[in-house]
Amino acid sequence: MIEDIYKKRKHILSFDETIIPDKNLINSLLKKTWELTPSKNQFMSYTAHVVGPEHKSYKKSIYDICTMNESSANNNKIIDKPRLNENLMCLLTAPYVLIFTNRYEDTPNKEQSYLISRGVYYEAADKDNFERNMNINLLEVGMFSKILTGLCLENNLDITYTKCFSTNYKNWEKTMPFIKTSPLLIMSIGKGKKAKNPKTYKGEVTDLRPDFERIVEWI
Amino acid sequence: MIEDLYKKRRQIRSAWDQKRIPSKELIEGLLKKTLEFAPSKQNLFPFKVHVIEPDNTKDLHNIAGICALHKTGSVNNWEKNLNNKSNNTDYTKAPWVLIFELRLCEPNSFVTNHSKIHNDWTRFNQIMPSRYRKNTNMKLASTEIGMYIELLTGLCLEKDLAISYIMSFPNWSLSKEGEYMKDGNKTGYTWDKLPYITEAPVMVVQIGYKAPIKDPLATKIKFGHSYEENKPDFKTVINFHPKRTD
Repeated sequence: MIEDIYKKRKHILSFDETIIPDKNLINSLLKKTWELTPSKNQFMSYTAHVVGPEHKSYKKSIYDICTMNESSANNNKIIDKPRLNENLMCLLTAPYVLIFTNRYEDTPNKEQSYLISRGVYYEAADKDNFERNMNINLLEVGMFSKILTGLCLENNLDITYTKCFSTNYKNWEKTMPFIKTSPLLIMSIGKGKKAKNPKTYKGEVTDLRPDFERIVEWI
Repeated sequence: MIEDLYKKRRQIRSAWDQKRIPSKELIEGLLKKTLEFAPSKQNLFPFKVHVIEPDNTKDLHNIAGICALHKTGSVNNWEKNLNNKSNNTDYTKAPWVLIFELRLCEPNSFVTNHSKIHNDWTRFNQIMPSRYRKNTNMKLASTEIGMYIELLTGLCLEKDLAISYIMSFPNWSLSKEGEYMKDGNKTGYTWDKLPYITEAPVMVVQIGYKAPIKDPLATKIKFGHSYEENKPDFKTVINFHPKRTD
C-alpha cells in the first residue's frame, strides 16, 4: 500500500554520514522519477542539481545561505551565541543534496516548436521571462519531489525538504557557480540519524495540522 | 511498487466514464488520507480544496468554461475533427473536480507560542493578512499543493481511479495594494462564476473512472510522431556535479 510507504517519512534533522548510498542507486531513482513525473506541455522547466558526497564545501555554502535566511526571517531577533542550527544540519550531513532551480527551455520539443511557430506563447521558452513561470515550476517540483520521496522510502532512504533559503540566485552563484536561476526547493537524501519530533509545549503537541474541514470544502 | 503505480497514470481528456461514478465516501477517504501524510511547512497548509460534486452540474459547466481556451468550451479545440461522442455520451466531463486555492492560515499553537516568546508576529507569511497573498507564500503553497496532489494521485491510482491536472485557466495577480487583478479567458468566463473562490486559484484536478474506450485526445508520446510531445532529456533536467579539478 502506498500509504504504508509514505507514512514512513520523517523530517530528518541529521543524516548518518557513514552510510553513503550508491550514486548508481540515486541516479536510477532520479531517472525513474523523471519518467513518472507529469509536466504541463512536457516542459519540465526546472533543473535538479545533485550535490553528491564529495562536495562538503558546497553543502556548507547551502547551509550558510539557509541559516542566513532563517535569521533574517526572524528579523535577526533570535540570535543566540554562535552555534550549529539543528534544523539545518540535514544540509551538512546528507550525502546527497538536490537543489531545484528554474530552467529556460532553449530546445523545445517538436510539438512545442510547432505550436510556437503557430503563435502560441510559452513563458518557459521565453529567455527574458521564463522565471515568471515559477509557480508552475514550483508545483511540478512538488510533484517530482513527492514521487522521488516514495521511491527513496521504498529503498529505505530518508529525505528532508528545505524551503528556508534566499531565492535570489545571486546569493548562490558566488559560491556555487552552477546556480544561475532562482532556487525552488532543496531536498536532502541519505540514511536518517536523527528525526524531528513533533513540537511540544508543556507536554502538548503544538504544531498540529489544521482540521480536514478547514482544508477541504464540499460544493 | 511506486513505479508500477505511477506508471499507470494518463491524462484523461475525453474518456471519463459517465456511468461508473466514484462515491463521495471514496473521494472523501482519499482526501483525508492525503492530508494525514502530506507535508507542510509549520504544518499550516496554506491552501484550500473545493470539491465540486458530480450532481453540481451548474458549477461543473462553469469550470469547463473557465478552463476552456476556445469558445466551443474546449481546452484545445482538437475535438472539432474527432468523434468523441457515442450514444450521445459526452466523455469530456469528469465526475469530480477539485479546485485548489490559496488560504490565509490560522496560527497553530506552535506558531502562536513562537510569536509570543519572541514578540514577533511577522515571522510566518502564511498567517499574515498583509502578506499571505504575496509571492513568497504563493511559492510555498504551489510546492505544497504539488506534493499533496502527487500523494492523492498515488492513492487514486491504487483504487483504479484516473486523475487529470489542469492549469489552463485565468490567473489572478496581485496589485500593489494587495488586491487581486482577475483575468478572464476567450470565452468570457471568469472565476467570479464560482462565488466561493475568493483566493488565487492554483490548480484544477479531475477525478473519475476511465471509460472503456480509447481517449481520442490522449497525449501522443510516440517518438517521431508529428505531434510528438516528448520530455526534455534526463540530463537536461538532472545535473550531477562531479568533483571539480580546478
